[in-house]
Amino acid sequence: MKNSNELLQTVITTGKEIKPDLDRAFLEAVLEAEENFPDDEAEAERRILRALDELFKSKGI
Amino acid sequence: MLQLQRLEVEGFGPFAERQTIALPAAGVTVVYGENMRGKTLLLNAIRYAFFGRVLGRASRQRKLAAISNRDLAKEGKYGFSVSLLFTHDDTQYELLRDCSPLVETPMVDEDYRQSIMLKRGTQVLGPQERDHMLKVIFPEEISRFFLFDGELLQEYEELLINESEAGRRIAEAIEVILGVPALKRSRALLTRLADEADKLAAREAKKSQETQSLGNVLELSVQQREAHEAELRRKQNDLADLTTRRSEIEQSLHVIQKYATIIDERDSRQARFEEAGRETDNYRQELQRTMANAWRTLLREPVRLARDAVASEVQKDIDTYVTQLRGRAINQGMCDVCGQEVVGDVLLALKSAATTANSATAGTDTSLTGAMYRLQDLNRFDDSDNTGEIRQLWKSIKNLEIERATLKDRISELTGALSDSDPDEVRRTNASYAEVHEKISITKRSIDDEIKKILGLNESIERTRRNLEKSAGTDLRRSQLRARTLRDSAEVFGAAIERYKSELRTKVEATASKLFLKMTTEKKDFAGLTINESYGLSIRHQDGRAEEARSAGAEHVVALALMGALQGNAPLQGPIVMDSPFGRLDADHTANVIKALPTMAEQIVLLVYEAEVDKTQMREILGSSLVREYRMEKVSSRRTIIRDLK
Repeated sequence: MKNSNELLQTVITTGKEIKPDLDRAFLEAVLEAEENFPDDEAEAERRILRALDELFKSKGI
Repeated sequence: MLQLQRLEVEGFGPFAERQTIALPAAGVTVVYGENMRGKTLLLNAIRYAFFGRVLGRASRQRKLAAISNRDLAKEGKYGFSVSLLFTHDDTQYELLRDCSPLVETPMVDEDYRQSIMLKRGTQVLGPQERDHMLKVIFPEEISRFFLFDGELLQEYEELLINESEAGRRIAEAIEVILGVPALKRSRALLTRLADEADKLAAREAKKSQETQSLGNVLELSVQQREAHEAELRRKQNDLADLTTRRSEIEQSLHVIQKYATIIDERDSRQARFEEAGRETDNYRQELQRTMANAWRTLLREPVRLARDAVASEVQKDIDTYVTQLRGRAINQGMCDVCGQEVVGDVLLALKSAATTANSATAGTDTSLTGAMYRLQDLNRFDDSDNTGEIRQLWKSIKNLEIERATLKDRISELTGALSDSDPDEVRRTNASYAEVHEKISITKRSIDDEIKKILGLNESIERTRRNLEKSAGTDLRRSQLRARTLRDSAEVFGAAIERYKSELRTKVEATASKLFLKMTTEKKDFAGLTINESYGLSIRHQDGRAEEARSAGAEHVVALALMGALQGNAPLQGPIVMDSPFGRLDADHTANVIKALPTMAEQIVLLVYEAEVDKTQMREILGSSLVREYRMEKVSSRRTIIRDLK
């Protein structure tokens, strides 16, 4: 049973309100990592860090 | 979305031979079966396939060794299997769970081997992927909202009780189905990564002389915060354990209270039993006394006849005596009684009276004295009729005997119910409760302390970070930026949790209200349902007030409304399988619930007995939403087959 988009929409909307500088794609990647690996924290963390690296790369950091 | 396609059972409960049920993806499938035919076991077959468990009454886990078909066991064939074909997000899966004997005559669960296979398409998944997929497809903690047993209804009342342990578990399960844990876990992941990023930033800072001391401060603060966060988690686990323990003690106290009530009832019945015994003795003595005179009733009539005869005799004697007196008065010319002269008219009158009397009393011999004595004796005879009194006394004694027999049975029952009780248990349990209560208060205070310390350290870390930013090199800036991004993201997810829960509660309340108003027969009186923080639903009157006391039937309808609302609003969706869902409902409510079913979920499976809902009525109400019908038919007390009614 997969989660719907409503969870993501709530995260995106909240992000826009309290941390507008945060990248939407990164927040989406975090949620996706958790949903795909709910029992494998190590793998989920790796995915999140990979997404962070990609984000920084895309911004030239 | 999960959609069941086919269920096969063999050797499972009463299903000795392989039985297959095809389950259309959309619509309502109904399986009719009388009591003891295996309806609940069919629901359990789905539970067993996914989780390897079979639940009995009060959600107690049943021994698998007891599930094997008894008829087959007599033939030396043990074990059972369940196969489930389903789709999840449009991908087909086949799940096969098998329980086979390890010994010739297995008696306990350990004598069996369980094996499980999950195929995705044609590919058999390895154990890790299999277990992972099963948790993703159908997490066990939310199964109660899809595999619905009427017995579990009262659990939903717990949602209305704050700090109820059972309510907390159900609320957590609701949050799972609504997807909240994904946000909580995301926040936890990000927080941990942010801590690591802070440590990395501290190490970077320490590399440069300019930022070394700030780096040391940052590193130390982060380490301290980690330690306090670990301590906070430990104390939160302790609090959860203590809360569970308190809940168990509360249940024990409830049972003890029940014992106290039983003891009170037993004592009062015992007292009444003894009192009734004394009353019976009194009545018996009274009866004995009354019976001592009962013979009088038998003689009443003969005595009356004798009395009348003697009275008649006495009258005759009196008449004869008077005649004799008159005769002497006439002859003597003087009355023997008063001594007066008898002359003239008096003499004439006496002569006339004497002539009449002579003919009547001629030849009669007087024995007046004897007859009068006999009459006196007969008049002394007490001829009162006490049969009414005797009957009344017998009736009273009989009633008391019946009452005593009933009381004796009840006292015996109550004594049996107390056989496990321990008179000292109340004292011990109360002491444990006080102790746990105290520990909870202490733990809560220490949790607050830890949170304050962590907040203080966060402020210190933030200050140090800002100071570092002023003089940071490229690598340090990058490390700090990573840490900030992760921490900000954690903050977003934290805020999203509360927002999401609040939005969901509003939606669940609205959907549940609509469903409830469809199913209730009191549409004019009720405005809808109101949801609390724990997803408990109370019925709201048109005047805005909450319905205080709810009948079992009302509870039933509210629980069904909640299930439908969760299905309608949850990211996790699947079929609803209901076992005897109409037990507490009257005919009108049952009809309303059936009408509402197709709106609650795409795929519904109902396990009902025909007295609950007539087949014709079901077909009429559901119309084209009714897609398949089956009936469980008895072959013997231990064998059932499932017939397709197409």
